Amino acid sequence: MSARDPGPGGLRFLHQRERFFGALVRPLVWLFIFAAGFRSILGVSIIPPYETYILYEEYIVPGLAAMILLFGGMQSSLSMVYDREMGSMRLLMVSPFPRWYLLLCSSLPVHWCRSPRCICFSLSPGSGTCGPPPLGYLLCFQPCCCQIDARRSGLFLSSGDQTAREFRRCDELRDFPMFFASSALYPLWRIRDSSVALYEICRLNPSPGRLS
Amino acid sequence: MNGADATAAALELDGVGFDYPGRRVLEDVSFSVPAGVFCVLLGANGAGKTTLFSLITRLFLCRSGQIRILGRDVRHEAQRSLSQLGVVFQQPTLDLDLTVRQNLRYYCALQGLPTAICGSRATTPWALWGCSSVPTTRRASSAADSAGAWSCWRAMLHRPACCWRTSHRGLDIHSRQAIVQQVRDSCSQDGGRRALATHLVDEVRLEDQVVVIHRGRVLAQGRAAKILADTGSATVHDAFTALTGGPDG
Repeated sequence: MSARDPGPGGLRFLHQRERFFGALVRPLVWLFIFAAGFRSILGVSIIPPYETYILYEEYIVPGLAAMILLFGGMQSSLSMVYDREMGSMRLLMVSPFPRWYLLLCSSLPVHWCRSPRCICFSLSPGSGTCGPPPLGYLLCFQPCCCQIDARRSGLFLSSGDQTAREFRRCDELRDFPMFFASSALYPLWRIRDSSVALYEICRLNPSPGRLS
Repeated sequence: MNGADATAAALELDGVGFDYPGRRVLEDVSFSVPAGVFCVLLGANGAGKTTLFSLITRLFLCRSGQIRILGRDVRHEAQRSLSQLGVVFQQPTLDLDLTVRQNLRYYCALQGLPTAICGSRATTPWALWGCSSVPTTRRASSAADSAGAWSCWRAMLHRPACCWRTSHRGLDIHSRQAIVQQVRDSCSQDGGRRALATHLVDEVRLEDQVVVIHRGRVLAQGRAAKILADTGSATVHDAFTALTGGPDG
């Protein structure tokens, strides 16, 4: 099994273009509707790594890109639950290759398929002036630790005896707190002003802050 | 075959036992399927066939006893032993979003075969059905009626020493006969190193090996003709009933 073979995951990405554009809807809604409405209320003072006063839209774009990667990483493990229900997982189990190698080969295309969504979002109108520097686009393809964490936690949950529907419900209970309870939407100093407990939770959350 | 015993049985079980929590499912199961033999495993529902299948294919780990494929222990030499095993599951396990050709290429990749082999070997069954090439229709879901047949052929693509088939699901009369005949012929090819195990009584011939399992134990094993003579039965079905005591046994 080699990197040249795209496998079912890669081929599904090429054939299911509606899923590609569907995954961009949520972050674009946040950007165009929520961020535009909050522009006049929330300005973000100078905080690292920024060197000047920035608009709220510019602050939220990395977090929304992280949303695509985070949600995609966890939802990709739904495909493993589906494979288990359909019996396709057994084909992997009886392969002579070591299982860690099979897991790596199935995970890497998933990460690389998420990255074009992230890049398309960064290039979309509205985020165009807030997009990353050129090196940032290249870094989107790195299977960063948070994507791996997200997929790994999804795989751990999918190992339980669950149907795909049950898994999707658990997935949502996990995805939303991981994204919202973080520095992705608001700077931490602003959260601390309203709640110290929430500030500590957001500070300790490793996901979107680290991704962005 | 590098490192494999040339005289080793294609599939050999030695004292295999398995428990589910609170329930003993297999007890001291031992039988051997020599190379070049068509073996039929017979057992009623709940006899332990599915558990045995899961142990041989390493879906479960065998902690009691040994399972060897061409002399290689499945537990300690998983990679080499599994490469000699072809499996047909009860579900077709074809990816319905891909074409048949893409499914076969994916299987070749999983078995470490060059995908070019898929093109040459996969045309054989299609030729038997009077067509000239592997179907490249957009989705395998449109070929769902032959998914079972393709699953069987796919299991033989990497020329395993032992092919284990569990069901006839998805096979019509003609494709079933073609597949069984093709596998019987392949048993005598490659120096007689091929063996097939199935659990359906319809396909038994007198020269085939039969293993009868009942409630997790092997009741009888040997050539079908010998089992018929020992039980004084005219058909394999009667011999099975005599050994297991019928549906209420």
